[in-house]
Amino acid sequence: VTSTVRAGAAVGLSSGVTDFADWVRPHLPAMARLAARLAPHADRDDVVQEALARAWAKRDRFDERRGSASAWLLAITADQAAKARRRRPRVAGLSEATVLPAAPDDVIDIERALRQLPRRQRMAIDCYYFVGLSVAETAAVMGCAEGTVKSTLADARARLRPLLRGFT
Amino acid sequence: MIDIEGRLASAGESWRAAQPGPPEPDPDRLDSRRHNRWPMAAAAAAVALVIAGTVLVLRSSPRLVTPVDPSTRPSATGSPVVSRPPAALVVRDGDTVEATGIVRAEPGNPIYFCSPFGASVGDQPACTAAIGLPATGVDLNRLTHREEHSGAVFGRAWLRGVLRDGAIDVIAQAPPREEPGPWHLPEVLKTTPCPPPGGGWRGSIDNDAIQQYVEARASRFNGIGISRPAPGVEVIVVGVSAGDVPAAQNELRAKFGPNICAVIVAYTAAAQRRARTAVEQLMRDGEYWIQGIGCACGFTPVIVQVTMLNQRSYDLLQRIGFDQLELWVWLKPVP
Repeated sequence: VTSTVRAGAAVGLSSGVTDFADWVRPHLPAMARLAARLAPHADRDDVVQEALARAWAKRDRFDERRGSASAWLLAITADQAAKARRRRPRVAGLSEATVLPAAPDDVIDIERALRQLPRRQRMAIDCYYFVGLSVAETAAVMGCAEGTVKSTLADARARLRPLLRGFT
Repeated sequence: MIDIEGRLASAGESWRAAQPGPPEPDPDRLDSRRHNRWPMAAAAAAVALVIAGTVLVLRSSPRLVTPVDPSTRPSATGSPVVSRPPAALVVRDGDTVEATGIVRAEPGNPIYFCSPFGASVGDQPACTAAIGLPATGVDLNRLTHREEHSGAVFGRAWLRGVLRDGAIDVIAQAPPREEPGPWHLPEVLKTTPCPPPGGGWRGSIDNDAIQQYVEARASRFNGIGISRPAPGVEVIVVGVSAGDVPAAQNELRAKFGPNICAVIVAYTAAAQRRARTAVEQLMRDGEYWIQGIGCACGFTPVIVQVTMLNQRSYDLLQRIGFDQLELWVWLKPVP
C-alpha cells in the first residue's frame, strides 16, 4: 500500500493528467525514439500515445523500488511497439515524415547489416546505440539481466564485423 | 580492423539527430482511460459520424477531388491553432516576429533560437545555425526547462523580436507558450467516421492484404489508417479519392470483412506524390528553411514544417501548390 501511494503520488495519481504529462515529459524523447526504432513502419506518435495511455491506466502499479520511471515507461513503449509491429499498420503517415538531415552512407550500410542480425541482437543494438538507452534501460526493454544485454551486444558486434567489412 | 563500436555510436548519433521531436501527451487519450468512458465516447462519436457519413454519401460523386482554399481550410491536423494563409506568414527583414522555442547558449558562440519540434542529439536538442537563428538580448536567467549539456545551456522561452539580417533582436521574452507541433493524427483517425455495420464491428483484419489492395488501386484510394472505436476493436479507415464511397466500402467489406470504413478524401495519391517529391527536393537543397515533411497521406495535405517562411521559400512552395500543402511555420510575423 505504501509503495502504491508513493508511486501514485510520483506519477500524479491524485493531481491529474497535467502532472502526469509533466512527469513523463523528460522521458518522451527516448520513448519516441524507441517506438520509431522498434516499429519503423508504424505511426511512431500513435505508439507513444498508446504507451502513455497504458502507463496512465497502470500508474498505480508503478513502484520506484523495482526500477526507474524511465525503464518502466520504456518497457511499456517496447510492448506497444511490438504490438504495432505485429499489426504492421503502415497507417497514414506520420511515420512517413522525413526530417533533415538525411542519413549518411555509413548509416545506410549499418542499417543493411543490422537487418541480418538475429532479432534479439538487433534489438540490443537498436536500444543501446540508436535509441541511446543505458544498459539498464535496454535490459528493461528486453526483459533480461544487464549482463545478458552486455553479452548480446558483444555477440552482435562480433557478427556485424564481417558484415560491415563488406560495405567498406 | 573495423571500429564497430565507433561506427555504431556514430550511426546512432546521426539517426537520433534526424528524429523529429516527440509528441506531447494527448490529454484526451489519457482522459478516456481516467474516467473509463470509452464506450460512451465511442457512442457519442458514432452518432455524430452517422450524420457526417450521410453527408459524405450524398456528396459522393465520380469526381471527388476539390481544390481547397488554404486561407479558409482548417488545419488538417486538427490543430487548434488558428491558421493564417501562407502569404500572411512570410517574414521580411525588419519584421517583428515571435515564437516559442529552444534557446542554446554556448561560450564563444552566438545564442541560437530554434524550433522546439526539431531534431535532437541524444537527449540534447539540436539547435544550430542550420535550423535556428542567432538571437541577441535573450535573458538566460528567465529560461524555463534549463539544462546543460557539454558546456552549452539549453532552455525554453517565448521570444518576440525584430528580424535583422537573419538574426533576432529580442524585444520581449516570456515563459514558453503551449503550441501544437506539426505532426498529429488527423481528426478522421481520432474517431471512427462510419456507423458500425449491421452486426457491429467485429473480428480483425489483415492489414497487409488491404494495404496491398489499396496501393494497387492508387487512382481510386489514397490513405489507410486505424481507428479504435472501443478498446480492443480496430477499424481500418480507407480514403477514397475517386469514385463512389459507399460502393468502395461495400467492395472492401466484401473482400476483407466488416471492420472497414471508407471515407472521401480530397487528395489523390498521384498529386500528393508529386507535391511531396517537389518539397523534398527543396528540403535537400537546404536553403529554404524547410525542416520536415510528412503527411497522413490521403487524410491530410502534405505537411511541410518550415522554420521561417521567407519570400523565396513562399514562391517556391506556392509553385508546388498550396492546395496540396499545409505549412506549419514556426517563426511567425506579428500581425
